[in-house]
Amino acid sequence: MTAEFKRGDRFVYRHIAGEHLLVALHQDRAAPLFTFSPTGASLWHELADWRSAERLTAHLLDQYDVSREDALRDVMEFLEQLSSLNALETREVAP
Amino acid sequence: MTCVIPSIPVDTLRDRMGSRAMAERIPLWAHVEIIATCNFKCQHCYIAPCAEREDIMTPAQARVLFDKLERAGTLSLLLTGGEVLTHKNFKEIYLEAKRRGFLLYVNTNAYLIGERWADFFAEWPPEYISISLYGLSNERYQEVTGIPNAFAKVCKALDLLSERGLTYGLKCPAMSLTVDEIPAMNDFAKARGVSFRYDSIINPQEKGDVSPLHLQLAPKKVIELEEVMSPGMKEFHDYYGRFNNEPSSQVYRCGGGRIVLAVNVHGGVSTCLSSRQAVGNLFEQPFDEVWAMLGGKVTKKFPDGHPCASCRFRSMCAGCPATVEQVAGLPEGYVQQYCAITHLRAQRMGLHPTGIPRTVTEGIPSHVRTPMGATARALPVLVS
Repeated sequence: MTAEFKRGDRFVYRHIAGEHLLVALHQDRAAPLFTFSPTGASLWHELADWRSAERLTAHLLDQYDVSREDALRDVMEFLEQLSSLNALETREVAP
Repeated sequence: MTCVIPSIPVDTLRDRMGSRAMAERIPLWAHVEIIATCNFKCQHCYIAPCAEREDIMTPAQARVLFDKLERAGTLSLLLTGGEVLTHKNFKEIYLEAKRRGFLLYVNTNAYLIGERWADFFAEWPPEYISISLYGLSNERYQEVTGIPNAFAKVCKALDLLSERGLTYGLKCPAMSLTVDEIPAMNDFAKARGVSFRYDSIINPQEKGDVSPLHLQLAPKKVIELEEVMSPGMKEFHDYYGRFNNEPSSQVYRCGGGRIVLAVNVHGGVSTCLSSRQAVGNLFEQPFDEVWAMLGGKVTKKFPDGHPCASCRFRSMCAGCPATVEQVAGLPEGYVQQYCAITHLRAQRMGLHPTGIPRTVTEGIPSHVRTPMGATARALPVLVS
């Protein structure tokens, strides 16, 4: 089985004054908003649909001159952070 | 390359965004009046007494407005009135804004907040609920607002919000009807662990009735209150110290029209809630057109010889271009009442020898607009 991820509906993405923001809709987070880098924003857009870590890594490799190892590490760290914010839905699918 | 979420404190993020917004003139803040009528009948109010039943923003109009604000880069949105919770479509409008990713702020008198409203706000929390407090007894509330048993209801509302961990603060206009209770209101807020602020400037009604001005405290009373609320005027020293206090010919030195705009129930746009003179209409015009008109307004300069242009106390002035506009008709007008308060404040802080504005001894240049007629007569006499 392969894990796939999709952004949840507990946050809204905004791009304001140069900042990529995640605005919390509910009170379950300590902070009302978070910011992430343009790379993170790019992944957030990808997560509009179900995506595997592999596919997200491929997305970064398409866009940036970066090693596969670094891209995968960043993707996993980003997914972990989104998950800890309760901003991510996860499912398992057959490969 | 990194795509992780940096752990930047929210305040730092806000400061960073605020600086950029100021430099690039991004309307980070919008104050939106969704209803002009109110369930209270406050003697000092400058909006609701002039309001008609149809002075309400519809959900469809709110959507048009939110579309434009969202695209323009607004992050923080204050929903205000009138009393917003009397708007029959408040929830719809609130959720429309919330789901678009605006950080929401709500002004209310809290009278209608029962379990259901408190639960709603707990599920969809605003950043901050700013609650008007008008006294510490039912009797005082009735005197100010005309509504019986209101203090008890408001206290219950505060309990409900506190129980749900919602962030709120209290505020009160300091005027002849409330001034004796302002220090106790501060203690009341402290006991609840929430902020309290007061404002000593009372404005005429937006359609010109000056009766609220009879409630305005005289300058000496304002300063007496400040000395009680901030021993040694410490907060004013701290505040004053944060600014470049070099005199400037610019009328507007605030964020109004630069990172802030206000929108009334009919779509009319002004620099802030205190300004009631709309420069354009967001229900009818493109955002950029209205924003450009507002931008033109806030570049105004004082006419030659205007007393404010050479003043180094403007950062702690009792008035601002919007309140001057309400009282004198033009933002570049002059209101000696504000000047008297400010100079007395400066004297108490050791920044001015006499506390008496130069215009009292030398007069006001005749080409500078000042309050006229009934407005001038309604303002309290200077100093005493």
